[in-house]
Amino acid sequence: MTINWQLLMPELIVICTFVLVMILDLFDSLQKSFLAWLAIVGAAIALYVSVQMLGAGTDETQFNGMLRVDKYSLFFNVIFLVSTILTVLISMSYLGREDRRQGEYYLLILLATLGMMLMAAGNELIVVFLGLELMSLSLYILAGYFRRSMASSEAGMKYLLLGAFASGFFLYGIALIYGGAGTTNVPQIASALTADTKPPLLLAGMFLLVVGFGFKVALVPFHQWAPDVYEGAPTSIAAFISAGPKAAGFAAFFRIFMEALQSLQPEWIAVVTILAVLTMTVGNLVAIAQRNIKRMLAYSSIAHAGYVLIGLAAANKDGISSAMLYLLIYCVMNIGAFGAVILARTEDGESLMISDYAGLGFRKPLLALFMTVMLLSLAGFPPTAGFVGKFYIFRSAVEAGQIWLVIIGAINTAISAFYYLRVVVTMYMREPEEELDFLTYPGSLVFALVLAAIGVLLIGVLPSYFLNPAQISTFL
Amino acid sequence: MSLQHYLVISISLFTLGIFCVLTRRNAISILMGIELILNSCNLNFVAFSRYVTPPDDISGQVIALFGIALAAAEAAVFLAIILAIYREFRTISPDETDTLKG
Repeated sequence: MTINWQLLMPELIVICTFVLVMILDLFDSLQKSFLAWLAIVGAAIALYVSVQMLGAGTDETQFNGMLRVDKYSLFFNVIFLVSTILTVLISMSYLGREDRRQGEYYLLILLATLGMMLMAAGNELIVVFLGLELMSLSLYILAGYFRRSMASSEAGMKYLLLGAFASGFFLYGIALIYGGAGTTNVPQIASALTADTKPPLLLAGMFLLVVGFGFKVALVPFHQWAPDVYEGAPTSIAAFISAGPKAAGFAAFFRIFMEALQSLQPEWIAVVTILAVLTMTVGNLVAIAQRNIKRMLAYSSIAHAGYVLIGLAAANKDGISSAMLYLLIYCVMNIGAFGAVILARTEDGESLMISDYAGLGFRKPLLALFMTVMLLSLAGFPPTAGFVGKFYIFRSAVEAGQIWLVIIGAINTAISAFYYLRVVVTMYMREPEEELDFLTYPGSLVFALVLAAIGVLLIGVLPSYFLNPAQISTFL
Repeated sequence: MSLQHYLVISISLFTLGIFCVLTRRNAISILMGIELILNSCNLNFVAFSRYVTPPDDISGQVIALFGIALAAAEAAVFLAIILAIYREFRTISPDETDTLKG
């Protein structure tokens, strides 16, 4: 067997960056921000290589069919690497210059990125599982990164307990599918199953996989960990957890369900439809009641997972491609929103209550502008990217005949506008209760926010430049 | 012993693991419940590999090895986080660590 190393370039570049950061972390004389820039450069090179390979239309399997490097996995690589770059940029000022342990932080982010890339490229259930665990174990540690903070440690513990529990379900599901189909290879499972044989083992395995994925991408009713973890974890890590790992979970979700379990489609479409309705509705309704902005964004990210699930419920090529585009948009705007929260830091600490944002519109116009763009995009107003994403998702569901799902989705979008706009109204219409001393704007954070804002507006104005790559990148 | 015997043992282990995770009040006991679940998966893989797939296909047994390694990695990270929790809270009961509420 010969290995075509060129196909694995993005992964190899991330690994090399990982090793470099690990070695350079040993030198105490080195500025820790240098490590962050190194991680950014490494991720940017991997991003460039992924885009090149995507343009060349690569589609090959590696390691006896274990990994499939195709346009689908490369498109998701782009999503992961964009999230990684933005996360590292918003982390640099958040961690502070004095923190001597920053090396591990960037290492773990790179390791989690590698796990996500393996998940998207996994053509074998066990590779998907190992990628998932590589990603999750890194995230557990990152969530508990502020060891001296009670909230952060607690977030780490809760995330680990529920995440490991979910991994157990996921692995049991894989075991049952292995028993039912006699293999864990995705195309071989598909060919072992035909429409008229539906072994109960496989059905049980499918439900367990739904539970496992449901935990990882925070679908209702498996979402309880999300608000606690987002609130307790460092804000930059909350941004990361809400973006890349969610996209990675969906990447594997789509590939396994649309390709391997295609003959069980009638069964899983029913389950996915119910989950989508529950996730959107509960996420949006509970978000209204939140007073802490990180918890509000947590519930909003749960609701967004529901919108993405509509694409899977549509179960056609358009559904998957619009879900992929939505995930790209969602990652950029969500990291942008969390970045704006970090930017709103005062000398007393972070501004986490929504009431803290009163009057920001006049005293901190730049910050309020970023926040407004991100929130309008999350709410789905034109001409931002959020509108484009929702439009294509809903259109694909209409084409698949899921009219009711679209109506519920549209009602939910209206509900969500309420709590997003409430923050905007608080910023521009209300007087602050007390004068707060804001810190000066850190350059790297503003740079990340400018990138995110440009991305959100660019996708919103020129959607076809991003939709077309998504459409040609599906594996269907 | 037939495949059914192994599957019954595995599903009992799985159920016991879930029961343990849901009822225990100590983080270490919850971890033990999770380990039970992971081991029931490994048992399943080995049993299926022996009875379902052709004799020269040992992929199920290899997967079980991965499962064992993974359980160990998870335990290591978990114990480290538990230690950090204990330093701050002086308890390792998830019920009593409740700074995060909505």
